[in-house]
Amino acid sequence: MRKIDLIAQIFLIIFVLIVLAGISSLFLSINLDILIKTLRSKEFLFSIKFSLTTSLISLALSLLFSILIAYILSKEDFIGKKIVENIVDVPIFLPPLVVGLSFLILFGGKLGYVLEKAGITFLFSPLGVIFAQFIIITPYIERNIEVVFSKINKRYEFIGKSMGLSDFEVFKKITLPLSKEGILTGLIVGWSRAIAEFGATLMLAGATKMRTETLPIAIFLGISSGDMDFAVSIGVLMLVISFLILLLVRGVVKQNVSY
Amino acid sequence: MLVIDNLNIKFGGFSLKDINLSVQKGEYFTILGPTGSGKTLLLEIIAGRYSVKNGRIILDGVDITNLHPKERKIGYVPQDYLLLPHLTVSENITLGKVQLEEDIVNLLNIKHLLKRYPSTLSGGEKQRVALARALIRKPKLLLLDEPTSSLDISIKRVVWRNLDKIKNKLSVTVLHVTHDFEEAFFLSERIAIMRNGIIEQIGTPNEIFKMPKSKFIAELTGVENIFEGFGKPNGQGSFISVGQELNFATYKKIQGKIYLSMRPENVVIKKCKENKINEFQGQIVKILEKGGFFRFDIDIGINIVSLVKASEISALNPKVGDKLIVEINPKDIYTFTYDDKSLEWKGDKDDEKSKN
Repeated sequence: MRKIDLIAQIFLIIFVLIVLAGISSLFLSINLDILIKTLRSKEFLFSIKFSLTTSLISLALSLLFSILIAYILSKEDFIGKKIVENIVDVPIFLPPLVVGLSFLILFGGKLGYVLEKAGITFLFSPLGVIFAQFIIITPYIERNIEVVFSKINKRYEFIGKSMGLSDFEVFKKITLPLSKEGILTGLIVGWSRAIAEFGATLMLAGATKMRTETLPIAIFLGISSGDMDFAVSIGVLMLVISFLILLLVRGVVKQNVSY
Repeated sequence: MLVIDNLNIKFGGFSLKDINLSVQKGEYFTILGPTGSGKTLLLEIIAGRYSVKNGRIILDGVDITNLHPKERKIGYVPQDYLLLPHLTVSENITLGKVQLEEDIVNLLNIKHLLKRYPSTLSGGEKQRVALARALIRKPKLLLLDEPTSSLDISIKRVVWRNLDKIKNKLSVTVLHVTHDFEEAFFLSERIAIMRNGIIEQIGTPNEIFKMPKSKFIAELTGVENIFEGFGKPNGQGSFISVGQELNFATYKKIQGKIYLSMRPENVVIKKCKENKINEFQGQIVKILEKGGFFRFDIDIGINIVSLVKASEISALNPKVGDKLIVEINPKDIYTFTYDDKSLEWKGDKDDEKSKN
């Protein structure tokens, strides 16, 4: 065996051990009776229902934006495209807390006042949770879709046009079906990030029990109030959800066909 | 009828220059040229993939230069067929919201393929499906981009017969691009030769075969005997010296550096001199049997190739090393200007002069 292979293997083993140690500590600290009790508690049932609802709404909204943004960015060249691309990517590079803080300031100002008059309240409300998730996950989903859009052979779309299809029909019948694996991967990645979103949600929607209590917020509230058992039980559940999402992504990526 | 009027387009570092073409209704017209000559670009411009600012494309009297591809009434078969991988053969053909037509399905023999996906088809099957897809909307013009380039030679010939059948049965105007001169000659009523974005010659297969305008076209159409020479006028014609000892007589008046060529089938071999013009003594270097022909490489001071029907050489019984006489009729010698960038065909010009 070459020396570099041996060193690489050692590093791999160290990292796997670190991850396993963290996961095991979570599982080892769990009490089965308390886990069952937590899973049956109103607060837990609220937070899982709330997390699923908000994440699915933000996911649907994000999908719509991502497909259209990806379509433009992958097909059109325009002045300032690079700048626009960088702006779209800002939520990826900025800490979620800072993203949340900036919108806290925006919606806490005149715009928030106007919106509130119109009956739309983002601050410290479930709508704020959806908005925070939407802003954080959209660049991830958009990136996945943009990559797959730009990988599609443009001549397929041209063939569709020469067959009598309008530009919209080409998009519907050719571009979208050829991109479905990429879109699905983007959705799964986006959903996992939406479920796990914490920083921006905390800043924008706050951590209010049974109101803006997503699963990560529930962990935060559990630790803040000294209820470690509750926090650990939800942590274990989120671990299971993440693992299932990971399996889903692997399954989709495995089937991914590049045209 | 397709008319391309003074089309000019720059595309990256490549450009199509002064393209003028006229394809008659129902004609089978081929653009022949090497890879990178701009054939596919021209086809995709006609099909509507790229917009054009300089020049016009007119199809059956309608200016289609800037129409959306779906409005052009053009069927297009790309080189790689581009069948949509997520659709069945049937769905691929009816993509443009048309009914599947039994006539076309039967003509191309694809009935048994309709429910299959493109990934399960052979190259020949994909090609037939792509043709069906292009023909289903009854196009005024069918564009074929190297339709046989990825097929085996045996399947190629079947495809050629199919294309011939389609053209006759559907009376569709066909514009076909290829780098295969045999394919162009088999299928076409007229051929345009294209190089570096320029159309260098347009003519019937016979005209191009017999009177290539340049050394490049001569090579593209299979002329093997091309030599550099120096022409000196002599009486009604000229002598072209090749090397130090060979002098070829031609009926054309030529002065200075020149390329001369002769088709291998016009290089006659015989046992004895008959005191005719352009008889040279030579020695057989190589013999190759090619179908019903024999190909001889003969050293006459230069290596000259002769192609002779098998039935015509039984009396000669030639073998490698045999000495024999090579004869070339002066009218079978083509000449091209020494600078091949010039598209002028000197022979024609001189013929015109001598007529006057």
